Amino acid sequence: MASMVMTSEGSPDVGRMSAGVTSDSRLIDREDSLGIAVLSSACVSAARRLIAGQVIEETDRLALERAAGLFRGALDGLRFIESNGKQGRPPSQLQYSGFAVQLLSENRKILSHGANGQSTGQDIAAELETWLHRIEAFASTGKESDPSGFADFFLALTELSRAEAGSTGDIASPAIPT
Amino acid sequence: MRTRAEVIRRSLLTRLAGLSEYINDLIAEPPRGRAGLQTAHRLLERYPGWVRQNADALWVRAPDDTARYAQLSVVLQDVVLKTILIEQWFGQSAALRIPLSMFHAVEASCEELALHGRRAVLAIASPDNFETFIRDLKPHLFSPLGAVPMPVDLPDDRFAMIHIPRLEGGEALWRPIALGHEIAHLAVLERNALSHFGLPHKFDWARFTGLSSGDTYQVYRQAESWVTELLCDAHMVRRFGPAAVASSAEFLDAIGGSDKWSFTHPPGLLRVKLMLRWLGNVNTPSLKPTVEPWEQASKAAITGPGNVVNLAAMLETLADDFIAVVSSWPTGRYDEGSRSFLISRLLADLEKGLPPKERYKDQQDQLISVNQEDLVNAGWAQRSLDSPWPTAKLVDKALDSLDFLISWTARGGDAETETASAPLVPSRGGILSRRALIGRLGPEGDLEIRPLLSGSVDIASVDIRLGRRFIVMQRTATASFRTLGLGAGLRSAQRLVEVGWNERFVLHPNELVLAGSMEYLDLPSDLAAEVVTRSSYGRLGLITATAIQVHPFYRGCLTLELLNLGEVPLELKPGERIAQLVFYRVDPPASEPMPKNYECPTGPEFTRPIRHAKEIEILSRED
Repeated sequence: MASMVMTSEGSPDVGRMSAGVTSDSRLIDREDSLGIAVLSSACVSAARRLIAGQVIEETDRLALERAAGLFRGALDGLRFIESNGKQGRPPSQLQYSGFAVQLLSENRKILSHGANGQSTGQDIAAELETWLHRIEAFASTGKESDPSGFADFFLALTELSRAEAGSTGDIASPAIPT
Repeated sequence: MRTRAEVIRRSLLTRLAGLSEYINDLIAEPPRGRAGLQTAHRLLERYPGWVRQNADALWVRAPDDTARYAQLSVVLQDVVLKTILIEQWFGQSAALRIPLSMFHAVEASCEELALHGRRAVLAIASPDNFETFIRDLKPHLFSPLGAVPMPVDLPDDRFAMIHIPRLEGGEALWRPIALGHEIAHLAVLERNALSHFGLPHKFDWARFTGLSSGDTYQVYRQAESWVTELLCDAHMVRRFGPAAVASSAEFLDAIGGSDKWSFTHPPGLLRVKLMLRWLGNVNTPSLKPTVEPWEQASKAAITGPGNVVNLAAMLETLADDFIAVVSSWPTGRYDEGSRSFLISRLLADLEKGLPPKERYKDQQDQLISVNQEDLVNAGWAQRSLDSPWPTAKLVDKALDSLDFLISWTARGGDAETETASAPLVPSRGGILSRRALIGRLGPEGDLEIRPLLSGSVDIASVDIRLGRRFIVMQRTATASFRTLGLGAGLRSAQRLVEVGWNERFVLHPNELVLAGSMEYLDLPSDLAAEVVTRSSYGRLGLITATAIQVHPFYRGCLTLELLNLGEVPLELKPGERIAQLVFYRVDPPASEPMPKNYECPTGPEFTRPIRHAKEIEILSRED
């Protein structure tokens, strides 16, 4: 099923008095996507440091803490929807409100559950929670049992976010109708 | 072989060098009177160097090439996005076509909404969009890149950044959209209006069952976005009344948006329906035609995919909640009903081709001040009558005069006029004396000079003030211009400059510029006037007019030809009493208006082809 978001116009960076003429089919705002890419690329660097036999630096720890905040927000957003607005936080109160969408979108392969249209919100929340604990532990202990897997996950997230923020250098494609 | 990380690093450094040069070019010619842009430039000039520091630190600290590429490729892409931002908002000349009064109006509107100290950054953009940049510029430009913190010595100013279409940006009639809807976006954020609206409790979850978690999440985000837009619409209607509906509904229709919806914007039809509901009954007869076409159109049903129709229907049931939120904001509601008499007076002036005055007497003979909302509403009322006069220009002129008077009185100037109750004094001929002038300018008279400040009428003349728009001459590649049959070529040698009320315009020795009088004139059939340089200026070597004759029936501001014949540059300030008008009787009165080259000019006019086409043809013939 095509996602309803596919007629998104441009970026939530701007509030517009427009008719909402469709000009783009981005899942989330370009600047938000780049913000996520900055964070995730810093997580790549932290994990690669372990692979290189080094210890993580203070800047790595700070980046991991911010990445944990990103996942916490996505979880909050998901809980909000799953509870019909009774728990969690609404998207507008999250710094990167589109992050959950980016993870959940069915044509993305970031989360194993997110890629499966049949999975429930609880399945996805459980996977997000696992990742959150892993990032928090890495930030607090400086240790990660599978740094390669960790780096690969965030490298994929970096690439996904860059693509989301990127352009083909051509006129934007027409939106996919719902 | 170079690694991919090295290629990206080189690309990043090259782009930063180019961007730095571009920003230096922008800063080299700061736009006059636009303080917001000048402050923003101070942020921009620090940006490339800060990114460079980040890039260097990330390169050194990264454990390997994979990490280097991952981080620097993101930084490079971020620079591309920030360059787009700089081009779109600060590109050369982006703001020069927007009147300075609009910059002041944006800052004043922010103050009214308790968005204190916001600096206006206005730019021309796409013809089908007004848009507001809702992030804070400083943290947005200097968002963490992971290595170097934001510089501590950057200016703390906050901005109101609005993109305006070229056509609507220059016309005051569209102010409801920029000052109502767009600025409300900043208020929605600052005042946390979405939370006050309470969408989580009002969202009708039952309408959207059967969707996956991701799709439900997206529908909810869409609802938040639509609520934001509708809150802005509600504020616009509250602030500007019928003019808000007239301007936004016409704009939406013009860009084909009536039946359109998007992730961020609700269907145009829903917006018009709700705006009319929030507006309620229009009590001023002359304003009814401004909204009637949209009342008819709004009776159609909203169509589209199921979720869109559901969302629209849900929000329509919440109509009163939108107005409840914006009613708690500090801006007052525009009550057109209580301004009905005043609007009829403004309209009467617009119907005569006159820019409305800054004050009028009401039915109880009390002076009431005109405000921006009155002028814009009267403008829309006049527009609905298909007036032969350039309504938008006249409203713009009235707003510009109002802008001057606000600045004038704020600095201690007296806004009273001496003609308010002056009787008409019979005169037999010759030059009109002060008594005769005041009578002709009074309520029974037929001579109009607007604005007319206290002390302007002298013993046998009226002082006129320098406006703030100038047409300056610039060098061109054209060898020479023929004075007969001037074509478009001369336009390339002339450029419009607008300066702030607090700024100075420097006229260099032997320099010629065209300037406008601040006063808008309307001469009756039996009066003509001559423009004379005030003697104290003449002694400095300043000539203010070479085409000194003003004919009966002339209607508009005067174009002054300023020439500095002295040896030193002269600093001129808008609002200075620079010249005088000497009026005399025309006997017998002119029977019909002479054909005019300039129709209701409200500032200096670019040179146009000289009249008398037949004579030009004769003189141009070769023997």
